[in-house]
Amino acid sequence: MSRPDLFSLDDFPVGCLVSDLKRQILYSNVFFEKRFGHAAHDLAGADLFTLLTRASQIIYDSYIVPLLLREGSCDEIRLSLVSRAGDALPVVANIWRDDTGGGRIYWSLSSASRAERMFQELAEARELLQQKVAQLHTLSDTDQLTGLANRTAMTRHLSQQMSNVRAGQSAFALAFIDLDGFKKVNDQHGHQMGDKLLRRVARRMASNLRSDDLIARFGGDEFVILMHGDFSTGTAEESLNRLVQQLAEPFEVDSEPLEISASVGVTLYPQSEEIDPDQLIRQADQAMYQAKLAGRNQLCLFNADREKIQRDRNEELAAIRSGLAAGEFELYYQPKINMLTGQVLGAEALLRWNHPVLGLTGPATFLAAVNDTPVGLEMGRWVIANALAQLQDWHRQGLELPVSINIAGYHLQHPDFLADLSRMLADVSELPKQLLELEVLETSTIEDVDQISSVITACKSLGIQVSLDDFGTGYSTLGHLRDLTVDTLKIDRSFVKDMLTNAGDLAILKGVIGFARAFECNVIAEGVETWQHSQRLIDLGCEWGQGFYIARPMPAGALETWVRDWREHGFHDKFLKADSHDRVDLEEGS
Amino acid sequence: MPTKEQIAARNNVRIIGSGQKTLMLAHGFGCDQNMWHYLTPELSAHYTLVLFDHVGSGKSQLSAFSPSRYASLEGYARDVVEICQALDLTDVHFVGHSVSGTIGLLASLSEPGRFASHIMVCPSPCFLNDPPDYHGGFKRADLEELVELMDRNYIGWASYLAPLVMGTHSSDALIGELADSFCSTDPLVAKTFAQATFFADYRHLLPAAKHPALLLQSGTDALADENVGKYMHARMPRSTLRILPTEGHCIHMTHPDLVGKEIRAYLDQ
Repeated sequence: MSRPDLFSLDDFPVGCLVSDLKRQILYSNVFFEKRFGHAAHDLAGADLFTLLTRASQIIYDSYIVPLLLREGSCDEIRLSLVSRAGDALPVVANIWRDDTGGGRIYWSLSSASRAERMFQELAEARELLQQKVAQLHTLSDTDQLTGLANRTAMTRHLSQQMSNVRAGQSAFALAFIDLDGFKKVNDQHGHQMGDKLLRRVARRMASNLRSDDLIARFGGDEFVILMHGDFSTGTAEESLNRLVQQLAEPFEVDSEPLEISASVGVTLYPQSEEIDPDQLIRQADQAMYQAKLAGRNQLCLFNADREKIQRDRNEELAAIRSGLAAGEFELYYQPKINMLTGQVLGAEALLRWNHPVLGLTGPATFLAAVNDTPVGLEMGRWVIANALAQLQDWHRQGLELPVSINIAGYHLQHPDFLADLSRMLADVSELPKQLLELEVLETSTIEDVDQISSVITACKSLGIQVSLDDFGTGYSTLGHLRDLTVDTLKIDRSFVKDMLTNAGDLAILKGVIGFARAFECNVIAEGVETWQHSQRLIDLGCEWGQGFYIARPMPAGALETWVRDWREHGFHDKFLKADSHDRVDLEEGS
Repeated sequence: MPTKEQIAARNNVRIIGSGQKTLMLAHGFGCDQNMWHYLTPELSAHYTLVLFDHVGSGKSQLSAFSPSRYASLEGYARDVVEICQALDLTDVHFVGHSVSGTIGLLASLSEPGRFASHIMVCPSPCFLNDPPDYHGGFKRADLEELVELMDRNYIGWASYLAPLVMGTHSSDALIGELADSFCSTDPLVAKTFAQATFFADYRHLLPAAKHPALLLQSGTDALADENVGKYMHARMPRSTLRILPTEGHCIHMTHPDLVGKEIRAYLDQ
């Protein structure tokens, strides 16, 4: 079909234009006049750039020319065309180059007003969406009551800050704040008033901190502050102390003056050991708790060393408790004798730990850790129960050997002590009760002598013997001797050890023996390590003794044999044979 | 520092031709190394040519794109230096079109030992007017319109809204597969390059140039006119200005013979 001559390029509803590589316009159709106001005769020979905005000129030079030269055409390029009136109108151009005829460039240009409107709507929608997303972020990060950041925001910010610090950025301080007396406000004035107060508190905190410090309400009357900057302990303390003071100033809510204060705990980051964000918050929380304990309305710094000690101690306690459960503890027995007659008076039960790694260890390695703890109480009860079981065993075998056990002061003062002891004694009903002796550590903190006195009296009424251990080393010894009616005084080994060379120790020893006589109780010396010790003690009037020279602590199974051997020749060998005084035994460990 | 292979892949580095002298050809804003297509037959017969694509253009690795690194021309210059180091190039004659003239200048200032000279094709140290003394060719509003116009040429709905909806600002999420076509570029990358190119002002570095430079200015060029060439020549020590009887900004494509002859004459003098 041949092309009908009825049609011309002027009939098409699209701008048709021909230019060359020198940007000279060779032809434009009537659409340019109708739509853009440029008559064909004006455009002919003109620079193409008269039709393009400056930005479109850059697109032409940077994109269109290289594309035409390289690929011959380019499609749907969005440009701005300058109308005769000087307006920039949105157009879309499809362009191709005919390199056969001197490099003519053929353009079709159509209006892009609708696409432009759509683009603008898209841009508006995008902006709206951006705002909404930002709003959602704000909402999910904000505490609704105070407008401060909430826990979620703080936790996220904290993690971010911690990783920034690890990446070499500056350090920060984290403070945990709990209001003192806030519950009272709520109770007395109602929650509405309480809420208003929280808002005032938030505002006061914000106005007293730097704008880059992040304050978050963690819930209730708890706040957390992250203060940026490489604080020395001193500077963090200073600015937070100021905050504590400011929060203690009265607030006025609905013309009602309200007074509260704040307990603040603070910790610093980074620390020598790497920790996670939760731990850091816990540290500040712990320090805050210390501030509460110390009387509120103050600041307390978290002490990493203290926490480490506490952590180590907890680990140690857990190990001891599992050792107890695993049956790793055992009672050893050290005989007590009359050094003059050789009579076996009994044995002291001493605790040993068959530690899976360290081997056999004495109380020095674990007693301090359990002091005044539930594990310590558990251990004390275990000792009583095991000693009683051993006593019953020996009793059944016909060995009537009194056994003494050490009772810690805190155990003796425990409200359940007597009830526990009675129950354990009831389990061994056939056992003569005087075979059990409690050794009360004189040095242990006796907070309430009256209470101890009544416990001791009750024990004695159960038939149990009571002795005062390590006598002479503690304070208010004489008072104790007056107030506590005990059967026996045990002279501490420290006096025995040096009595041969130290006149002072000898004097104390003489005094203790004198006191024992005056208070009509027995006296026994610990730490008899040599024959000389024993002879001197006998001379001074102390005939009872216990120590390495006589026997080391031994497992229960070995004691029966020892007693037999002692009676047969042991006493004779050590105390009656002429050369026995030359023997010197090793120093006593425990 | 990335390995030699990583750098070669990142910038789609190609080495062609042979000759004592090494020419590094750097394309300008908008295209890729194929720009040099008309010039390389002539040049490769006499010189070793190192061709590459700026990150974000041509067949460079889009995954290497970082909005912060490439927000200024220094980022592109660092790539140039890294390519020189990776290939252990010295005495490089850096042929840069348009903005790449400035990129080459920045690279040579940071590592002068690797460069021998500059050949700047239609260069401009600053496209913005700074009246009364400097006429870069464009008002700020013109260049802002350019960025908007680029936006309109890249209406990718997904890439436009996805980052918001998905709440991510990572460049990976914004950058899709590049179409294989010449000059097609990711919208974010193109916009970043446009902003780095057209809003920059490196005029203060001209007197610091350490190497001789040939300035090839097009007689008629809306992007970098004759006066820009004169301004540069007046400030760059050891520079030679040649104003060519050409129209347009891509004279290495439209007038490859002329440009090739100028380059050869300059290098062989």
